[in-house]
Amino acid sequence: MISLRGVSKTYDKKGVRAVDNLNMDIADGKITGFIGPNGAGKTTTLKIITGILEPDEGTVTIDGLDMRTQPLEAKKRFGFVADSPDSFLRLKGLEYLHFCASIYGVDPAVEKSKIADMAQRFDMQKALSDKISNYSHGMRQKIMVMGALLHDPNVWILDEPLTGLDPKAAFELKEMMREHAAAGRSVLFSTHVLEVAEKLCDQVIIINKGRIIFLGTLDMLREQYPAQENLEDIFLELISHA
Amino acid sequence: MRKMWALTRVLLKSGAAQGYGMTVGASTKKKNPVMTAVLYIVILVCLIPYFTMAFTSGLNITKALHPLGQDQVVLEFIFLAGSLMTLVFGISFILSIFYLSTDIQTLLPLPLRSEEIVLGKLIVTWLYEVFTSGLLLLPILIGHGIGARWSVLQWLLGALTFFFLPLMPLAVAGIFSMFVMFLLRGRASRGMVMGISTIFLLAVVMLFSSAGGYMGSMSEMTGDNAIAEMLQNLAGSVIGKYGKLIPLLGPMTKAVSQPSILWLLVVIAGNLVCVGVFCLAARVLYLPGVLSMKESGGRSRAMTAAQQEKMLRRSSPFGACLAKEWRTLMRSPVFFMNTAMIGLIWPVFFLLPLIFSALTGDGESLFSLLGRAMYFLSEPEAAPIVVLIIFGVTVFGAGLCMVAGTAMSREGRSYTFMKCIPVSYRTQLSAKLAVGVGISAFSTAGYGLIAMIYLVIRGLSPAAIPIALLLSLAMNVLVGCVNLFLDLAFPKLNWENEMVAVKQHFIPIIGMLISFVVGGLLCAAYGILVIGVGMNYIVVGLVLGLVLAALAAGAYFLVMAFGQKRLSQLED
Ligand SMILES: Nc1ncnc2c1ncn2[C@@H]1O[C@H](COP(=O)(O)OP(=O)(O)OP(=O)(O)O)[C@@H](O)[C@H]1O
Ligand SMILES: [Mg+2]
Repeated sequence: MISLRGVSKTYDKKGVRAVDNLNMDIADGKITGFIGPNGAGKTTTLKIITGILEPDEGTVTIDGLDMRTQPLEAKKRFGFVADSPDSFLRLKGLEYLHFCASIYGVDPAVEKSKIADMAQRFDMQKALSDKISNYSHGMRQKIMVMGALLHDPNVWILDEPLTGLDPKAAFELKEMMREHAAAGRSVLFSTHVLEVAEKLCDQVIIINKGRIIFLGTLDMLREQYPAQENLEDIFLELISHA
Repeated sequence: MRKMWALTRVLLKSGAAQGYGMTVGASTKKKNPVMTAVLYIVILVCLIPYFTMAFTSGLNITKALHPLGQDQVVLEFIFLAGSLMTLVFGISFILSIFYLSTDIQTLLPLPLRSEEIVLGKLIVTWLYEVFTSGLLLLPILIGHGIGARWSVLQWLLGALTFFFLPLMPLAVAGIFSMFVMFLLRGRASRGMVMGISTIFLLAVVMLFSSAGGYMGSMSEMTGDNAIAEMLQNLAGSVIGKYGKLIPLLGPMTKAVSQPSILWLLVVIAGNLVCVGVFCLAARVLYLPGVLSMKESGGRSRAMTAAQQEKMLRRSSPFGACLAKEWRTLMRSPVFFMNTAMIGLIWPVFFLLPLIFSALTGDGESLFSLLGRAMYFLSEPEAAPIVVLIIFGVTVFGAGLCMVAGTAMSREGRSYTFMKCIPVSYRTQLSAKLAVGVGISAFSTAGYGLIAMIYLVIRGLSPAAIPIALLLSLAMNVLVGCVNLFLDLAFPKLNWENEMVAVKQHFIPIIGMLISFVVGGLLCAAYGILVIGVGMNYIVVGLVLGLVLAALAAGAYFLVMAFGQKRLSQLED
């Protein structure tokens, strides 16, 4: 459960607002797609939710825990996969995962079985003993996903997670997102690929120029725009009006 | 050609300027103008003593040599020093800028010819070198010009010659580096290239230290004509020996001292020829070398169960952060060599002159000197001196250790990770501090302890050990906190190339100066009270140690409080 209330953020103090008065509730048990054109404010919003940026105004709560007043408790509730996976290049894959497990206080037995399980799904067993600097883009993406899921977070946040993944890995990741939501937890991810959003999401948030212009299920969206044939047309229509 | 100029402009304006350390400190958008101004003023103030010294020596030596008609020796020296420095530094620079910086990934796919890429990069490096060698050598040149009563034309020619000075050595360094990388094609990995470039840096250090030794032996000559004699000697031997390496040394000197526009034209023509050869070499050598670079060696294989078991041992969040910090530092050749290595291997540098002198024959006296020093220091009465020496070494070693002073900058853009994990900033910063202080304490108090144990066995009063350790450890913590504070205040986070975080970062140098000043004052206080006034060294050491410890504790709380606030506000 993620809640944003009146969240605004300006990068340089005089400039335009990168996100402007966002209000949203992302309920458990659902996959929520976050879509919008380049520069709409998706990454900014996700960074605010995860505590990387401080909002100028407004509050963010994760599972009812306020990011400002109880940051550590709140941060334990989510796992975050950032848009550029080029971090910790000097660590070996397994060292990185162990680092994540340690900072989230994961039980060693659980840690071992989860690593084995996910490594198998992502076909990463051999790569774990190698340094992340030797990984391909997709492999880096996979190891970051694994690190974010080790502690079984209630909320899972991903910024454009599917870029660079091979078809099998993309399928596995989508499967994992579905499982996550089916277990009654929430998934929030940003994407540009409308087909993915269409197939995967229970609800979508469309953002443009820092403002939410639609929040609801895809069926609701189609009802609102009966004239348009498919999601792409609806999206283009929405953006052009904003 | 047009493309090349466009590229140069872009390189200058964007990453390159930052890459070459032209911008200082914070990469955050909201730069605090007051802090930036203060920073520049501090740097300037720190450099003033050097500027005055260089200026007056240029002036005085010129005046001393003027009657002998030998004053162009100073010019020769400036041009020679500038050339050699640029040549050797240039190799390590060029390797990192031509082969390691990530903008290559963006440039290679563009419709640019390889010589356009490297020429653009060469020009940017050249301008940067003009700036750095200007900082070092211009004060001497100006002093010389005033001493030699230069005409307007000479000033103009001097400036132009100085401007062209680094170009040829850089082009030669570029040809050399491209040739080496061409030979290594298919085998060179990034780590290896960094290693090579560091070896050249160490070569510079050795060069300077042996030059220092040479000067030292020269300065033993006394008498009225000592300086003149020394300079004649310098002119005869050093310039005679190395001057041949720099074919343009004669023309450059003549252009300014005669003065002669014709010789300047020769200088410019020589440089252009060199750049031409550089471009031809680039056409053949650059692409094969840069395209075949590997990320790093090694291949993946599945781990045995035992290896996994060992790696997955349970650790606390603090322990995990500590391990991560340690590994990222130790596994990056750039980080390790530029921050920690000097602290860890300085005894080797200390021993090298001994070994050299032993090899060259006059080692007898040095060894017996050392033996006598050890004998003297193991006397019970020598305890105050031993404490002072250990503390002095600490001031020096802790100042030189750049681990805490780059702890934040080493994170780079991944620092955002620090903000979204459920580990308090205090814990994360403590881990950074622990690694920094640990390494600097090992390189000072650690070596000191070994030396003292040896001396105690030989008769030194054991009371010296706790006093020296207290002073040394407290100083290490204090310096570490100051450095971490400065790096938090002005981190360099927006880098593509690890070099930027450690080498092109002015802040740790300020931390070093602060530690030298504070440490120097404390050394002086100790010296005056114990050796001058004759107070008991245990009392003085204890009091000073407790004062230092209190300062260190204060600095720790300050840096933690500041760090928490700073990290929560830090944005990219
Ligand atoms: N570090 C920054 N400094 C200044 N402005 C920024 C910064 N990062 C983003 N912005 C601005 O904030 C706005 C939103 O950017 P954001 O990165 O959130 O977009 P996005 O929706 O993630 O785009 P994309 O689809 O391209 O990833 C843009 O106008 C951008 O120019
Ligand atoms: Mg984005």
